[in-house]
Amino acid sequence: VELDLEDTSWPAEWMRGVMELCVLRAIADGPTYGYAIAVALEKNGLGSPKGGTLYPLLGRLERAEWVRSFWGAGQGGPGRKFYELTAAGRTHLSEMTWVWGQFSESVSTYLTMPMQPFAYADSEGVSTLMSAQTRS
Amino acid sequence: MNGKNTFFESVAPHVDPQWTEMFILTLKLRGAAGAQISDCLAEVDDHVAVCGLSVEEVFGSAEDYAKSLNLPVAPGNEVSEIYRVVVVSLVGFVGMTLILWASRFWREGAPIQVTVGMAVSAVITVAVMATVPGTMQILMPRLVKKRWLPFVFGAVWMALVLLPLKLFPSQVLQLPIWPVTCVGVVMVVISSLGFFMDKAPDDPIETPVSRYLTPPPRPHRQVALALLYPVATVALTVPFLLF
Repeated sequence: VELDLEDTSWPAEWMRGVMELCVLRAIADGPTYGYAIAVALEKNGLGSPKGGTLYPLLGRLERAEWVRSFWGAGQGGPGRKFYELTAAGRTHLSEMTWVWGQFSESVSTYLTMPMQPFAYADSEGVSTLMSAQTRS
Repeated sequence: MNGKNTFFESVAPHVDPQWTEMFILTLKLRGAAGAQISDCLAEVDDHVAVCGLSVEEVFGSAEDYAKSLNLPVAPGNEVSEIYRVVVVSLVGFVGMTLILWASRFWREGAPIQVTVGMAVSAVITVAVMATVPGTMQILMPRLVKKRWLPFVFGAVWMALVLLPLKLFPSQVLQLPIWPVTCVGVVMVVISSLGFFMDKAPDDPIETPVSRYLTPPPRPHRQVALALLYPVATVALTVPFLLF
């Protein structure tokens, strides 16, 4: 299946789980700002986060001291807030990226494994074998 | 363009001034620091300026976005501090009212007549002012959204205060003029001292850049508030004495 990476909207529950990690990854490339992070996520097939999702998350990352911020010149407005990873943020990103790899591999492996008959314990505690076809 | 909109456009030029107003109001009522509000607003402005969409499209409603930020309550903005300011204001207001009221009897030298209506009006006034801190978060955004609501509230309050004066004219007690005047003066002085000793810093909304360019704030606000009731009392009492 061909996916248009710039026009993909993943289930919101999935995005909630990985948004923090993806935003940290976007900031890992160097100092960047809110809109550029949103564009980076969109270009990499993760959809475009709403401001109401992205900025509160950036605030939480800053309070957790995984990112720090500084002000620079904006586009004719009051200023632009740039974010960059702290050492703790870089370590956290690295650890969580490894954990994500393990998790996604486990999920993929499980989801793609051939359908098999499965066992369950009935009320008497006797293990019974039942095929998926019988259930249906 | 009015002065208020000019201010909102100066702190967030690419954002709808009404959205900015509601955003600032919501965060102020939740006790956020002015500097943090300015920073968040600058980010909104920058995002909207670059992406070309409306602020509502990107951030949704100002109230919901402001709440989602979960900004901490700044020192001096706690509910207890709001109650302190209300109490200080209330003491000043009651003191001023006592002086104005007593001044009507200064010339005659007759004791002050207190009616049931006056007592009821006083209780209503104190009760309404005492509910202000607890209801501000709910009430203020509605007052801003529906511009006619403050007039309705004002009219209802005036009716609640003035009607008892007409409906219950029977006299319940007499008070001596000069002790009442003295109590009024003491209350105004206490209120002024309360405002003057307010240690809460000025907490303006300004752009992140201008914050570093402007000189540190001076205590003009404290002096102005401390002088509010004494000046108002003199200004309102003098006409009573002259005419």
